Amino acid sequence: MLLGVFSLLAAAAVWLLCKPDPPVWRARTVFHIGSTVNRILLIEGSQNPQSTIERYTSVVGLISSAAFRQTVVGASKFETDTAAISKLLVFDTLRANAINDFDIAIEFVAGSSQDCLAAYRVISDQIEQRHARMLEQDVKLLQITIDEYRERSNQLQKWEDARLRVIHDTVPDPEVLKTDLGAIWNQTRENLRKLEATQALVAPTRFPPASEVFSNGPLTGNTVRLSALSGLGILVGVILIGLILEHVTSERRNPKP
Amino acid sequence: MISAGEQAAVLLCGGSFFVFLFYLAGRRPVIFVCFFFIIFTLAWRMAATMFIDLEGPVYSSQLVRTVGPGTATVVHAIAYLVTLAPFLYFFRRSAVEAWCADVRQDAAQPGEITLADLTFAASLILLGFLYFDLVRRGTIPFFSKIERFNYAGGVAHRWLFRYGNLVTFWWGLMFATGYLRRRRVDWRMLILLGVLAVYAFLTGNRFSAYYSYLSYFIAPWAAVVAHQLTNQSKPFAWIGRSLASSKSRLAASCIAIILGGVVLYAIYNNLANVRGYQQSEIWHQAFERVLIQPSEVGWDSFERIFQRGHADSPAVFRFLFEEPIEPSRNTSIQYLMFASIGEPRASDQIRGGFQFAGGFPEIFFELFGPYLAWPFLFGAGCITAALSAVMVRGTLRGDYASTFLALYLLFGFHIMYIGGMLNFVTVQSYWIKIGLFSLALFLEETLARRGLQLLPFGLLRVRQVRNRG
Repeated sequence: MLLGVFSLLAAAAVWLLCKPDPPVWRARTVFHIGSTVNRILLIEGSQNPQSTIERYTSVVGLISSAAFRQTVVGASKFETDTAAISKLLVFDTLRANAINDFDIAIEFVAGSSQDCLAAYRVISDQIEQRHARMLEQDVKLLQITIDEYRERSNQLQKWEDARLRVIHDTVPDPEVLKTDLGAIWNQTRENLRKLEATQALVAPTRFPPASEVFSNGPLTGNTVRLSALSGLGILVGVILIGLILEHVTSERRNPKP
Repeated sequence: MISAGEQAAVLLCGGSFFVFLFYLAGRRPVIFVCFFFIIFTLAWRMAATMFIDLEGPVYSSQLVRTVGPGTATVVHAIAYLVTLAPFLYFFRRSAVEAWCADVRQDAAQPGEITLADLTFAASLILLGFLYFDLVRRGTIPFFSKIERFNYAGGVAHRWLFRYGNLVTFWWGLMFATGYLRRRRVDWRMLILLGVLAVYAFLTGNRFSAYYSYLSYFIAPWAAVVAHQLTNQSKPFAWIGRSLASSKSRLAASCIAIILGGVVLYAIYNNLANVRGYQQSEIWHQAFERVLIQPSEVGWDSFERIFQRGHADSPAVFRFLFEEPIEPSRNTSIQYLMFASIGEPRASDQIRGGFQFAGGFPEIFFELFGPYLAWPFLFGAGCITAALSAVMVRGTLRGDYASTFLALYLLFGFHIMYIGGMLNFVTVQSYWIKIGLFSLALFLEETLARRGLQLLPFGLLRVRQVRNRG
């Protein structure tokens, strides 16, 4: 018991007497992952072919990775006085949290509000550039598919026109009339219309402007310290009251002669 | 990264909690045995919180974010100690000695049908029906690779799922009573526990079922430990006394080895065969389940309350008691999940029958803020310690009605310590249980003055016919 109380008090002493941390600023914002279109799903008839440029779990995983955090710290232009502490803090505290499939909250701590903004700019640049590359690739593939369908549709139209001319100029043969060309052309036109319409759904990843980044500071760790102190106070009080009650009851049971 | 001073504080606070538990196990075994169910959980969570604090940031796949580093251990360790401190008073040596003076040791008469006999017979019927129903349905989760929560089972299965802990507590109570009265081990109760363990294995249970059934079974054994305790006892001497004979030591070793093997295999089977994880994924999942998931919600709440200062008591109160996602279930973990992973994922998971681990002590800080939570934590600890004391005293005195009802009330607090649940007090039936408990206490005291018992161990005596010539 004594050992437990001793280590608890020692912990309190170390923690309460240790040098207070320097003031820090906490930045938080939410960005929206851009959307793209899954052309395979669209052609297969899916009702919801829209998806994010990158899945939210991958985005969170990327931001949490040591390599990404190192890149952010290396590329951020921190203020000279606080650069050392900001590098440590941003590397250790940069976190992403998926609010839903499209919105990701990012949060980190730095040595000053300017350092928060510096790190934020690098994070937004990194993610926006990465997603822009991915989106560009998707848009290219979508455009290729649209061009293919347009070409196919034109070709089908030519064949259908030629077939109709033959029917018009000669006596219609019932076997010649039995063809799926019209239906295929219709389906191709429909897919082309859908593909062209979904181009409007494609949107890049957007980070809010720096002015909308919520930066809270200067912060200190006093809440934890004071709360822990309150708890310790109650604990010590309980132990003291328990000892007094035990002493009183034992004296009452065994009165001194 | 946290500073060296904070790291030292985390290590010392966590260490002091484990030292305290070591003290309880060695010097105050009555508390350790009767409250083992919660003590084990607190120890596990403490280890997980320390890991997150010291090794963070670590990625949590359930929260889809990284957690740690920090100093959550400091607050949580003190909260656990504030919870356990009242036990030192309610289980003080003089009180335990006074209970032991009232112990009932009148052995059953020959031909007497006892409460233990009745329990054994009724339990055999229950277990028989459980197995019959399992075979009749034709789907055995272990062989069909079904998750335990996806197996609906029959009426008996659902009843056991809900009240299994109370059943095993009653078996444990009969087991301890048999030892106190007759000085011999009632193997029938151990057999019942073994048969139930096999059923739990077949129905896809992994660790938690064995842990809770065993914890509730051994809780009444605290009375035996109290009865054997003397002032001159050396630390951990109670273990030697509880396992005095070579037969009991052999049985305990066999049970521990078999149970350990079964639990490990059940966990592996679930991860590899039921959930289909491959090689390194199995290890990764087990690692995350052991060292991150027990405390990830607690750490997230710590960050929200203590680091960001986002305590919003009225909103938390409204969510917990007025507008939860599922009012009939634990609303505390619903709030913590909602605050951690947001909507619609929280609702989707809760309505799908899945919930995260954790809830205590973070829900107290969410509801009452970082300072006011402490007296409430202490108050909850006092009620829990008092009910546990009634349970152990009742086992010694043979007051089975109040002992069982004390455990029934305590069960609500156990759920609070396991999952943070606070809305159990708002359920009408809980107050009926309190009324029944008070009535049982009153009747037992009144009848005891007349030398009678509300629920006697010896129920009726069968006249024995002697063969002459």
